[in-house]
Amino acid sequence: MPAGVFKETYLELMGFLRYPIHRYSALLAAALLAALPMLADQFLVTKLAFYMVFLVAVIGLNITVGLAGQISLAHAALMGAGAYMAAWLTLHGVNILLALPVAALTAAAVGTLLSLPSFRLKGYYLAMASIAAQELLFYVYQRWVAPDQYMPVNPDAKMLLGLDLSRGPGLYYATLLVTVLAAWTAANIGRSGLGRAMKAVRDNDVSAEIVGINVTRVKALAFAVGSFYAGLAGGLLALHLSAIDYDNFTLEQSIDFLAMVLVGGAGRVVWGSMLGLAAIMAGQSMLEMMFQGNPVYRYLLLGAAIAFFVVKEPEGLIAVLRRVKEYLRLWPFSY
Amino acid sequence: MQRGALIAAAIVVIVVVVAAALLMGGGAPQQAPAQETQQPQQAPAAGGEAGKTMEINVGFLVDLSGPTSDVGKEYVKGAEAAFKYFNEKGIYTSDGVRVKINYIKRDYGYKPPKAAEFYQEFRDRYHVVAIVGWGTADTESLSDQTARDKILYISASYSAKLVVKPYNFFPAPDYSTQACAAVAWMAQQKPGATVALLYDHKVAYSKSPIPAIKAMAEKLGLKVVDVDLPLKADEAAAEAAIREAMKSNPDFLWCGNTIGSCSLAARAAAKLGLDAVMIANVWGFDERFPKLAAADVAGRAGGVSPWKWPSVADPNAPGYRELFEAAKMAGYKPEEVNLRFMQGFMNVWLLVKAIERTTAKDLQERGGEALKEALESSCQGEPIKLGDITPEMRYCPGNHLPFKSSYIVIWDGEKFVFHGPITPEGVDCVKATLEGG
Repeated sequence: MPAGVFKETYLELMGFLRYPIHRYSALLAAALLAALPMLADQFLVTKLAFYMVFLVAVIGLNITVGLAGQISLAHAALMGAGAYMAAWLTLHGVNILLALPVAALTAAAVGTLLSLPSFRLKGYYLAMASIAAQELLFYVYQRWVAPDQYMPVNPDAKMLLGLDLSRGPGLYYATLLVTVLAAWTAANIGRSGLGRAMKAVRDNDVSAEIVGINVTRVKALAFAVGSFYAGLAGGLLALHLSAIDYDNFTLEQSIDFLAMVLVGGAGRVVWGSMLGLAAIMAGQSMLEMMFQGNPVYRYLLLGAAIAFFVVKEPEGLIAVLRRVKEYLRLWPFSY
Repeated sequence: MQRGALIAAAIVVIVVVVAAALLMGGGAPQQAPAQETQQPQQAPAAGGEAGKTMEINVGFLVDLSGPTSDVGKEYVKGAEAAFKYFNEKGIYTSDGVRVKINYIKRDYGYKPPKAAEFYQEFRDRYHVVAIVGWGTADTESLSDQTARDKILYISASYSAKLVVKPYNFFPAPDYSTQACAAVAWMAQQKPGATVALLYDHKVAYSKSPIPAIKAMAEKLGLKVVDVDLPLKADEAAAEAAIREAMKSNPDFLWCGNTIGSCSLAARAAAKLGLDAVMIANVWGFDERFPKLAAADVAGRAGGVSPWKWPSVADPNAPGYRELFEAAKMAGYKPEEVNLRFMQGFMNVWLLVKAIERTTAKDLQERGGEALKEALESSCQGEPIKLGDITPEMRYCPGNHLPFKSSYIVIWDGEKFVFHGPITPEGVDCVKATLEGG
């Protein structure tokens, strides 16, 4: 704690912006994000907005895996539920902004249904059950939901008061708004009663049950909330793309999401997810540049890097960042 | 002090590398090989702009690593040879301004989500006026977007659904019209025959002509049965598909996948003793087929092709001459110039034709819209021809079906025999696909 800063209430102590540097940083970040479309070219802005879609999905998985300890390898498929629902609604004339919450709720419902095995299964067995769910949903998308391989999204449903939300500043600000709200809510879940119950279940579900936590309910809620985020990300994907292809929702994508959570920091739903997303996406981009046309090396190297990282730094990049921050805080002294 | 500075420097470097990698996205731009400024080798059209030059950016979406890379790699060679050839030879607008094409190549691995990502990069980062694209699912799903963004899109997919899209073009009949020609040929060979349709039931490309095939078969009194054959098949999957097909005792097989999958199916048919003639979609059969099938498929394997292949055409005939010149310029031997190479070459040539029909001012100000209108000027005006490779092609607004005839190519054990060209009649095959798909 910096010298001269005193917290007199619990609310102050638990606040997100506890110290002056937090407030200045937040203000600077907000100004930068708000002004970005004026400062950067359209490609960078669109790209950043596209990463935000995946950030929302990773935050959701971080709630399910990181906070509640329920492993899920069906997150991409759940994102698909939201994306297809949003696309389908737009084809029926519903504005994308209205379709977003419906998409999220649809994925939450599907996720809750898929959480049923978690009441009886743990660890590897739960992972296997979630893989089965992923493949089942993927098959449904292939065969029945999008038999043409893709479902178009109605571009007219992406207009709001004459502003095109599917590109340029409209797309950026719409995505930014949803992402900030999603991140803020997720950060609050972590310190709410539900968040603490999730952590208790994650750390020891028997102990949690003994102290009166309804473990079944908490597990179901963890899946529901995580899936809600996946559906929200799916809806945002429908905002970004002109058609939804089932190749967006493969097992490979689910594994990537899980890798982002583990590499970034499971349980640190916002910062951990951001770091994990940046690390994995950057790793993929760099390997793509190095091995264009040869995905095998890309998979091998990225897989090896993730495995190495998870073994050497199980708490994720957030722990590395914390150590660096601590070092810089004490510098030039060693303690 | 020194250690702290090192850590701070390391953090800065990591942040910069991560940010650069994230924002670079699909990789560093791969632009056309640097061209030396040359004097025009041919006289440009008369006009006040003669002597000036301009550059345009073109997106080039390819599959070098995905399930259709079996045909994609050769296609890329042909297209890149064409970019080099036309850039060096000189591309001139109708008012005599020389145009240099910078192309940006991206391998999307036949994954439509990656195609969408690269499309955004082409549009927002490179401001392309045209895209030379690849697969069916990605081209179809991007078609409305390209129309809104007014970007000309010349694809290697000949899906019937693209015929009615305003900014999509290709120098061939659509898959449905080609498949209808194959069905008409089958009906000529054996009236009342049974045809087993082997295609991947989950892939847009493979499924594309199926409604038209069924409509044509019904019209001509042929019986059809559906069999699932994965696009990325292995021998076991191909044998399973052939066993399934054998239940209906077919006289003909239609293979709707690419050459890797179709050649495996032909091998399986030979192994299991199925006495039926396989006709493959245009991407399912080429010069490599007998070798890839590695079985006795003489007289029992063939494919649809809207054009005479370079291996059987006169290399000095118009169109083929340019093709072989381009290949030579790019360092390829004549025997390396195959159907796929030619398809890549043709798509770029069609783009060049569009440029040649527009003015520099139009190209500068209206980009893809000007190119689209240039190609559509063939509807009422002078038709477009890619030498003798294609017949006269006319693209009309709302109907980008340039011609309707196709050859049926059969491997007779020693050489490829071209039957036709056949123009399917009696069924509107594009309409059948649009209504049935």
